[in-house]
Amino acid sequence: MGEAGRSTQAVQVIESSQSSRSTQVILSVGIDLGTTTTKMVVSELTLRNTALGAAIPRIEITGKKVVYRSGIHFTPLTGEDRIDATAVFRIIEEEYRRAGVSGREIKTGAVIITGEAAKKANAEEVVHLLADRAGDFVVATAGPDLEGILAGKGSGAAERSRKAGRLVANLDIGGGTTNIAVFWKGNVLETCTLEVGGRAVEIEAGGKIRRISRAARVVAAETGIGLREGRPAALEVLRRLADRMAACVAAVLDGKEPDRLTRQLLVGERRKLSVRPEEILYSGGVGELIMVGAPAATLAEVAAYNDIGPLLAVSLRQNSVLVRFLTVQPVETIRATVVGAGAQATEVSGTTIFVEDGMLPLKNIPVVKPAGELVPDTEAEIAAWLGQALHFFDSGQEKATLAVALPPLRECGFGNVAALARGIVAALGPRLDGGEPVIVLLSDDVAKALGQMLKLEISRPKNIICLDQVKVENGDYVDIGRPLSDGRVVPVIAKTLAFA
Amino acid sequence: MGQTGVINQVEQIVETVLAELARRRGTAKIQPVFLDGEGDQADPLVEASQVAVPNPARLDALIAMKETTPARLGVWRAGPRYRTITLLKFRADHATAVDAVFRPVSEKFLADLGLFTVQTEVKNKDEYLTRPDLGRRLPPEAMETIKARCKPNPQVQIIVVDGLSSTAVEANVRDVLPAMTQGLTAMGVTVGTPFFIRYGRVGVQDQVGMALSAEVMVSLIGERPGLATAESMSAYLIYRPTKDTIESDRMVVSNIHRGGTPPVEAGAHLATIVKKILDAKTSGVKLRL
Repeated sequence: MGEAGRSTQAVQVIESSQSSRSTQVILSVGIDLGTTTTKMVVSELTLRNTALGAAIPRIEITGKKVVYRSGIHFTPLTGEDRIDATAVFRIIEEEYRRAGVSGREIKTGAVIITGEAAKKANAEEVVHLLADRAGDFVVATAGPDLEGILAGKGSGAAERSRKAGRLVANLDIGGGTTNIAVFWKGNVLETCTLEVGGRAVEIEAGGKIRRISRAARVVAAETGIGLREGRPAALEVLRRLADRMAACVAAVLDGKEPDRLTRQLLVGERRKLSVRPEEILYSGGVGELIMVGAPAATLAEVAAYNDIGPLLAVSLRQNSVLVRFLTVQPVETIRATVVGAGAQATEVSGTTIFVEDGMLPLKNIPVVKPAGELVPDTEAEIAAWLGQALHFFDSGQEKATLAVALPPLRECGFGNVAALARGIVAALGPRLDGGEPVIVLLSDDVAKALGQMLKLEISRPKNIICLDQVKVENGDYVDIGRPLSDGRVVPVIAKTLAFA
Repeated sequence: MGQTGVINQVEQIVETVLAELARRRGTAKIQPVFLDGEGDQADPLVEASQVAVPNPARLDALIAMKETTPARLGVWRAGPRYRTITLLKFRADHATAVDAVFRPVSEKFLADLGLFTVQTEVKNKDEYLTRPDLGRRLPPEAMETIKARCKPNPQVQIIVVDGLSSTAVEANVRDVLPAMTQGLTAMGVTVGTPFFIRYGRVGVQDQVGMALSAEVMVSLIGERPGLATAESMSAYLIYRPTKDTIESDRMVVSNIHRGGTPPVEAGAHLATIVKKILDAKTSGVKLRL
């Protein structure tokens, strides 16, 4: 800071003299198994030291470039309730071949299973298998909130909020769900998911209704629309259905108290958004139809994809509430989620961290984050506070390896960090006796110091990982990869694993 | 009340204000301040670090921008000039920087940390600033003290040097020193007896290293203060300094302060760098970390 950093030219500036040399490019894959379609992207992530002068290096992902986009494949199913895993693997293998990459070259990435696909009986099994096959550190993810966030990062909504300084909402509208994520300063503020998607009503080639989703049935019943599977589809009826669904999306975005119907379409506990976005972006398959202005004036146009996607796009585009929001052109539409998973899911830890050899990678580790804005001050308070959170976690599920995530410390002095180390050891007590590793995720830049102090308290080898600059919430899962950039940072993917 | 009494009282007030300023700088979030009407009652210390643009079109965006930098953005103006409060804040920060250079490291601080003191060939602050060469040399009596009080042949000898900011030394050494010592001890590295050098420059570490036959010398030294912070400290490291040592044999970790790398983390980081130097038996540009 100030003049100080400049006064040292003659001396070797530790590590930063190597910063230009130590730029590292790694390949990352994203795979999106959606309600209707499956797609894949390969991205190049550039890691570089961005610290100035002689300061301790700060390795950041400075470049995210999509280098291969797959085709859009229909998600293969066997019957109503199962994903055809073999067919999925074949699609991905073929796309790897076309991209000219092998699983061994892929250093990181994420597979996300979304919408209706996440509800299939073998969803969990397929997504984990696919992640294991896809590369060295490719992680399995699922959950509507995460989907909305990744889509908003892929579409450019997150970046837009940072650059324009505005509240930006991304509406990712696919076959099964509409995932809304609101961004501010590049970070997600809120998410909200509705069961509104193009696949609400499936239409056969002959114009008959093949299948009506649960959500469409609810909307039809609530608004007195007659819909029957096997009957010919009437354009006017479908339009009323799509208009009503669009109105539910608009009401949520407008911050209105949701009506009875909207409440029935909301997924999870979120009732409405607490902030009103200034700009919106559309992504997902239906989002793409909105942006290209796909027609839906005839039944043939409506049924172009054997569902009501084009009609829903028109209803959303013409909704009187939604037109009042400034609509921004997204950088990705139908591939927003998969680009988000491939290029934006991976983060890197801080550069001064504590990782013992041979412990990584670690996958699917549940995160326990005690409530509170700050870490309490004394060892005893910390032990009690953390102990309570761990007890709550233990009562919820089987004993499992877990990661403790902490809010900021009031002060980062030596004494404060020492008290934290002793408090953590006291709270983990029985787990340590059982040989469980200690994984601590901090927001303050004190991971190495904390690791060093934990090591003094716990003498067993291969036991401690302390990382900083990692953003996770209680109930998330985290995957931690092998060190990158000459061992100075580790890749971290914070995620959810929510299968409906 | 005599003149001395008044001066003491003024000093006390200044101390309080500076302490408060430092405290708020460390913790306060940027908040809008409303300048209409209540302006006279607004706390100038709070106001100066915050948004002063009246009725900004996008207050939240301005705050977001200000949070990315300690630079003086959005200070507004009075006609073509700074507002009085902006000028006062600027001068207060400048005064803090000047104080960091001219004030001595307090005896109480050194006693708390159990550091004894030796002085370079420099006689006072003015000479210190004008004669960098003297700040790199220790007189014979200082060398005798060091040899008498320090453990000889340590693997690592740590010294604390005032350099150009006593403020930085007082703000960081309390956390850096124990974290580094603890880290080194845990790695089985023997640490010598740390002490304090008054009126010291970076190069003074060579003479100490040679006298004690230390494998690695580490100097914790105050950096030249700027207007953003006066608390920034650096650590300079060198493997077995000799009379032929040149600057490219040294290594530096800078920006150690609570707004940069927190001192406790810097201490742990320095321990691992020392270990790498010990393992490689070299330092500076010859060492690829």
